Parts: sequence; C-alpha cells; structure tokens
Amino acid sequence: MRREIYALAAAVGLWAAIAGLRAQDGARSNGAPTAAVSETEAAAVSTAVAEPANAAVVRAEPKPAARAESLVEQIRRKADLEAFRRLEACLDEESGCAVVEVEPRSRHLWVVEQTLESLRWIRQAFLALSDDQRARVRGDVARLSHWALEFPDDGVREEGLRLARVSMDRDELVSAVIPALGGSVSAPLYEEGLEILRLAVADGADRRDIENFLVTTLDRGGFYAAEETARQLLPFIDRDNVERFRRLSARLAPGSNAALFVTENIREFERLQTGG
Amino acid sequence: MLRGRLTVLYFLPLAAMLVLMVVNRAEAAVSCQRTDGGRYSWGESPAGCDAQPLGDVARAQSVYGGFIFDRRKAKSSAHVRSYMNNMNALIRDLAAGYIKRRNPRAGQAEVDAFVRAIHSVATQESYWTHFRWGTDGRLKIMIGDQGKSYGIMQLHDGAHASRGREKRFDLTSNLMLGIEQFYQGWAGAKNTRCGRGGVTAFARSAYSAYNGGPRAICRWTNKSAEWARNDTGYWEKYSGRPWLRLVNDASKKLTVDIECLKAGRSTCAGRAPEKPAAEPAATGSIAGQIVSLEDGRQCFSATGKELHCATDVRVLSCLEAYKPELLQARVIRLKKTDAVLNGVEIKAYGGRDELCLAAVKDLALPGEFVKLSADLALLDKADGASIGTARAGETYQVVDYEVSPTGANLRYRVAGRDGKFPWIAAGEPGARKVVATTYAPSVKSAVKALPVAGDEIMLVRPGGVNMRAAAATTAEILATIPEKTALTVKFARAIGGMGERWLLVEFGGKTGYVYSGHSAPEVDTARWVAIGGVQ
Repeated sequence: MRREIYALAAAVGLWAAIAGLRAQDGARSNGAPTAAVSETEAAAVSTAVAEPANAAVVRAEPKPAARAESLVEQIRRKADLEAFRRLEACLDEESGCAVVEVEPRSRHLWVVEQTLESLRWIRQAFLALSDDQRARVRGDVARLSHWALEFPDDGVREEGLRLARVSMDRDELVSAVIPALGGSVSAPLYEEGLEILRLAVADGADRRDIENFLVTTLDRGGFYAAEETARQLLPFIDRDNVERFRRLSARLAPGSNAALFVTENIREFERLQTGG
Repeated sequence: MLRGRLTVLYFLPLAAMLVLMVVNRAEAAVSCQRTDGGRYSWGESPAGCDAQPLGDVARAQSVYGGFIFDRRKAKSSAHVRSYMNNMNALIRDLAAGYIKRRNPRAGQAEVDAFVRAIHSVATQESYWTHFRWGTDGRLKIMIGDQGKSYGIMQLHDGAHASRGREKRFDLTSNLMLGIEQFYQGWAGAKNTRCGRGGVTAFARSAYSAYNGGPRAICRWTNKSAEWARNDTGYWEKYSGRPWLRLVNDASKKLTVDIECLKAGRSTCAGRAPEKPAAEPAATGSIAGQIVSLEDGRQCFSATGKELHCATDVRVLSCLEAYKPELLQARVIRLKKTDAVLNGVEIKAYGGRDELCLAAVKDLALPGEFVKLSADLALLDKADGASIGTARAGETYQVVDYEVSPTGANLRYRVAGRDGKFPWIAAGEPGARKVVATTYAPSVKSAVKALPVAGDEIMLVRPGGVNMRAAAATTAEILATIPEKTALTVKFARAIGGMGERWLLVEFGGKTGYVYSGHSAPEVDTARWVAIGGVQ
C-alpha cells in the first residue's frame, strides 16, 4: 500500500510538472531568473520563472496554480523541509520509493539530481528577489541550507554552501560551513567552503574555530582536501598562529603538495610582514 | 489483478522519466575509442579505451611503465607476476599511508584490514585494471559502466570529489580518490548498527557505501537487497584474496617515490627513498643521471660535464619536459666532494623559466600574453573541470604554467575576466591552440594581473615595501618605499618555483627591486601592487 501511495504521488507530481511546463510554454526555456526583480514585479515574474521539471516530486501536496503565486510564496512552498526530507528518505532501499535501479548508485543519483534541481531553483529565485522580499523567506532558505549541508552527498552540500552564502549571516555561516567541510573529502567542496571562511575572517569572524579546523584538515583530513586547504592558507595566517602552522608544516609528508604550499604560504606571510 | 495493473500504470510515467534521465546521462558519458575488449581478469578487464583523448598519455607512459599491463604478453606469467607485484605494492602503500594519516590511532590489525579491503575493492571493481597496452599496441585505460566509470577504482563520473578528468585518469589519483571515498564509509561504519563487528564489519559496510552510496552502508546485511550480489562478490574477494595467487612478492618495495606520485609529479621513477645511499659512487659518468646532492639539491647532467641543479620541485618539474628519458633514470646520491664531480660545472636554477623555456620553446612566460586560436575550456585547476569557455581571438595574460614530459601537456593559468585565475590547455606541440603575443594597445582588453616592464604601478601594502639591491629577501635594503607610491616598472623577473615576482624600479635616485607577490599556489599580486598607477 505504501509503495502505491508513493507511486500515485509520483504520477500526480509528474502530471503537475508536465502541466506546469505546458502552461509556461513560450516562457524562457532555461527557467533561471537572471536579473533582480522589484517587489511590484514579483507576481508577474513568478509566472516567467519555470519550475524545475521534477520540482513537483519534492512538493508535499502538489497544487496546480489556481492564481498567480508570487515568487516569495513559491520559494516558501518549495523550501518546505519536510518535503525535502521525504525525498531524502528515498535514499534508503527500504523506503519503498519507486526508483528504477539500473546501477548500484541509481537511487542515490536520482535523489541527488531531484534535490539539486530544486535547490538551484530556490537559490536563483531567491537571488531574483528584492532585499525586502528576501527578508521574508530568508529563514526558510537558511533552514534548508542547514539541511543541505548535512546531506550525504558533496554535490548537494556544495549547493547548500551556495544557498547558505546568500541566506545566512556571517557567524551562522561559519558555524555551518565548518562541520559540512569536516564531513567531506571533496577538494571542490573545500575550494568553495574555504572561500566563504576567507571572507568571514576578512569580515572579522572569530578565528579560533576556523584555525583549529584548518589545522585538523591539514593534519588528518582528506588528502585532496588538505592539499586545497594548504593552497588557500595564506589569508588565514596571522602573527598569532604562524608558529602553529610552521610546526604543522614540519609534520606534513616531505615532498607533498600540502607541505610545499603551506611552506610557501608561510614564507609569503613573512614577506608581507617585513615588506618583501 | 486490477490493483496490480493500476500500480504498473502509476509507475509508468516515473519509469519513462527515469529512462530518459539515464539516456541523457549516457549521452554525456565517454565514448570508447578503439575498444580493447579483454577478459574479466587481472589487468585486462573490459573495456580498454584509447587513453589519448582522455588524459596525458606521454606522462602516463613515462611515469607508470611497470604499472601498465600488456595484453600482448597476457600469457607470460613473468609479465603478469611483475605487474601484480607492482600493483600490489602501490595499492598497499597508498592504503596503509592513508589510514595511518587519517587515524593515527589505528592499530596494525585495522591498517592490515584496510589494505586488504582496498585490494578487494580494486579486485571487485576492475581486477586491478587501469592502464594497459591493447592488442593494437595503443595505450588504453579501463572505462566501465557504459562510459561512466573510470579506471582501477571505477570512479563514477557523478562522484563529486573526482571532478575533472585528469584525476580519474592518473593511476595514483584514481586510487587515492577511491581510497578516500572508501575510507568515508570505513570511518562512518563505526557509528552504524552494522558496523559493530570490528574491522570485518567496517570493510563490508564501507564497500556497500562505496558501491551504493552512503545510505547503502548496511546493504551487505540484507541478502535480498537489489545489489546484494555486489556485496557478495566483494566479500568473496576479501575472504579469498585471489590476488595472492599471482603476487609472489607481497612485501616488494615500491621503486617509485610515492609522495611524488601522490603530488601528481612525474620524475618519481628513480626516487625511491629506500635506495642505497652509496650505490653509484665515485667512479663512472654522471651523464644522463639524476643526481641528489647531500645539500638537498636535485640535479641532472646531460653530458657528464655539467650539473643542472635546483632545490624547488616546481623548478625540477621542467626537467621532465627537458629530458623525458630522465623520468626512468635512477637517482645517484653524491657529495660535492666526490671525485666524480671534479671539474663538473654546477649550474643552479633560481627560477623555473629558463629551464622550462629550454624544454618548451614556444612557452609563454608569466606576464606575457597568449592569444587563443580556438575556443578553449576554462578549467578550475590545471587538471580540473570546465568552468566556462574562452573564445578564439581572446587574449589572456599568463600568470603560471605547468608542463609535462615532452611538453605535450602545456597548461597556462591566466588572468580571467572575473578576477579569478582559470587554467587553459594549450594543446600539443605543433598544434597549439594559443600563440604567445606581446602586450600592445590591441590587447588592452585583456586583464592584467602581473606587472611587466613599462607598467605604472602603485604600492598598496600598508607600511610600504622594501627596495632591495637584488631580487631576494636576503639582499641589502636600499630604501623603504611608502604605500601609495607610484612607480614605473623597468624590468620584471620571477624566481623560485612559486613565481616570486620582483620588479626593478627607480625611487629616490636609486634603482632596486621591490617584491610584488607570488603566482603559486595562488596569485596574490593585489596584496602588493596595483597596476595602472593611482586608481
């Protein structure tokens, strides 16, 4: 019975998505809002922002639009955490979700693809709002970002970082980014996350947690994550921690890129201190 | 009956959608050129595809000689055993080194189990198949799952961490990325219901997660799971260790420097750290050899009458391009006082440009400009993924470069139009897709990130910048030039492996050098100078 309910929901969802696409026939094809939208234009824009074809799968209760729904309302509805959690539950084979498994990772890839599509839509739509409009849905989007940053897939975490960047304040962002990176070994994810931490440090964020995280990553983190961290270390070195990084560099594998990059960044820090 | 039919009807649209999705994914997969079939057997699992369009073939051949299976010698037990011994050692050392670093508290039993598990994953996924010489004599790489999974660890093209083809292509990177992914499951298993049986449970859980995704970590406990047969196949390998039937020297030491391989460099072959120190000694010629001096410098000699030496690994990387045959040379460890060095001129390279120019004649150096003759992908790393497109006719300033053996894989880091520094692949010698050009009014649309001779600059470092008598932080300080001083660059030069850039300027009636940042690992010129004078 449970399987049938999911199947029915999926079928209805698909119908809603197709209906939505037909209704938007002639609107922009890639579906991405590209420019800032004024508050007064929001309702009109909402009809031009095509939903991802699979967004309906994420919805708790798909509702073919009876009236023009504002972009703010659409974001609020689509950022429904419970719907995302229901989709996440499909990662478990026992969930009963109907997924055609053509390869061992089909289930994972399918859920990730659905999730990413919806997250990207929400981010782009959020960016299309005015500041006042953003304030009305910022909490919903930030909550969704927290969820995405804990999702067991680096692609979703990366999108979570992008969403967090536009929806969280500095300290919330730092405390969310560190554990998200700490649970991953993906250098591309680190590249994105370290840029966020760099900006936070430049903005005056508390350096202690960030410094501890960097040291732990360089010491015992993923191999390529450590290499990426070493590459981007310079903005995080200061007079108080340079000795700590110097001791750390002596522990790194001789000849490794991580050792090479940390050593060079310390030398550059010293040149910056002394004027070259 | 009717209920069953209705269920099928519910599923149909979703199934159709998924089939479309799968078709779309397959379209993006690699097309296998000149397929080399092979058997599900050590070193030759289906299917081998021409390596040429997928990665740096020249480097693969040079670096991985003993790790390339030769299908034409598949019936030679000596060849198979040699291949298996080499692969066994590489997998063993990478896996053991990885878990020891990630978890220094891991006991020997856990380290051994982890190594065994990685040997088993590589067996289950590919029968230790990565590079091979095909029956047509061409270098192949194993591509599985209809073009979606790469190499020995069968890295899926959807795997986030392996974004960028070059990392999946390189044997060591492929293993490392697979080991990293597997370790996530290994460590994660300790917090799951199915991971309570010690290292065996970690090994089984980690494979389920590796194969089916993180949430499939306990799949191996469910015999009726959709992909239970994969867990069973892996477990058979873990239990039976079938590779031991062909590995006759399980404790064989690697003859390559593993840190060098992990760093993606190429002159790794002769650098086994365990080599006897006194091997070469004081007699004989040093021609064609890599020489390691006791002061840490690495050198090579083309004629035996001179030594070209550098301490920086990025400087040394140009040796690979200059003398590709040295990639397989063994290292000779010498003292400067050894008789064999009597009368030998030692030439020290402070920067990489001179050596790299000797190796790659058409190289554009940092600060110079290149004009594109074709559309090229902008890459996030030298070996990374596409992040955009640079158009034919556009001009970019070079800020850094990487060369490979034979110069076949020349890549430039350039000043992008968005303030970032993407990479472009310049193409092979004789068929370059970029041409070096000089800075002129016609290319002023290009972003300039590195100051060059003739530029007006302004110093931006708070507190000013030292002007030194020579391009080195140890040289005499002639003056301290205040922040916001405008200067004209008379000459620019880079030293060291990281492109430390020094500018010759005049100030207060004196001429000297000011430092303006390094180009690697990241360009930071903007911390030192602004190009274009007062802005």
